[in-house]
Amino acid sequence: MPEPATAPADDGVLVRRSMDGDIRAFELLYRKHVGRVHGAILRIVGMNHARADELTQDAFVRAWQKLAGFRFESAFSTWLYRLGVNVALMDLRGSGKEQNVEDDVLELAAGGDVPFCAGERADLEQAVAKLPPRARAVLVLHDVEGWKHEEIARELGMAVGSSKAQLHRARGLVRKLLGAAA
Amino acid sequence: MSEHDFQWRRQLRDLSGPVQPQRDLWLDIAGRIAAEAQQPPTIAPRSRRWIVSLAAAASVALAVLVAGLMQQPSTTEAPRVAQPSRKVDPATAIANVDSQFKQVRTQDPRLAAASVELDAAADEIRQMLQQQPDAVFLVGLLNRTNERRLKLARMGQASS
Repeated sequence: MPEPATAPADDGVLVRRSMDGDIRAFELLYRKHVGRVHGAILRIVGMNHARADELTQDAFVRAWQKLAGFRFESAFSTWLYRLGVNVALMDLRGSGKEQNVEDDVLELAAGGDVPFCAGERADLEQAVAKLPPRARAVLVLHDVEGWKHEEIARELGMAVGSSKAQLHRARGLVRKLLGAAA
Repeated sequence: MSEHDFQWRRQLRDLSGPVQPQRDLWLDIAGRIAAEAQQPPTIAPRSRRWIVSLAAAASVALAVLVAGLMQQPSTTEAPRVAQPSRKVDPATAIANVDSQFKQVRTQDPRLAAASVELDAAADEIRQMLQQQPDAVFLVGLLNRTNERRLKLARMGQASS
């Protein structure tokens, strides 16, 4: 990964320079924050690196376009991270892949009786990646990213109760997948 | 929360954190930003409506002035100015002002020739505006032409 062209600067300064059309300043913001944005997107899309790369690009292009609307009311990193997550969630909503998920598989997994078997990080990542997209998004946002159900429900356009139900099902399915792998 | 649950939550939480892309995405991002910057700015439909409304509002204002000019008697009687309705279709408003201008014909041959030229110019601009409704400069051009027509109409009124 190439190093930034100039010394690191405060986000606020870089954002203001970017707002004035300074693409070099925006590159510095990209270098500084791409890991967090890409990490969240990668987990939401189920560790699909190619898709995550595309969506991370989309997120930064959109950030550039929407920069004029940034009001400095929150940290730029938070604003950018939320924007990146929204891009991934919009992709998830648009994909319609949830239609392919068989409910009986989810219902079976929702029992939660399968004992959790602590495995390697890679096993856990793979199990999460195998979840149906919507259930995966809820689990990643809640259990990994630390969002509240209210926030998840708002972003995914679902009821808070649905978010909780999806999380319950997702946890059950991950337990099942890890149990089977053990 | 059982020990298993605690372990589970902790392991999931550990999945968080930054992950660098496997390749540098910046060149693609910069390329897309540069490509967008080279595209001509597009005006949203809402803005287009605003532009057409602007042209319509200017035309309505001119129509009121022209109507006043047409109805202005040679006596000192106060002119009865036609009041525009609150809801005016922009295209109709622009067309109306044209027809009103064409009714204000002066007998002075010097002014009449100029009037014909300005009428033709306004017609052309109006046709171009129909083809390119988001062309702000055409609205400005139409308004300036109409102002000249109004000035000419006033001169004709004064000379008759």
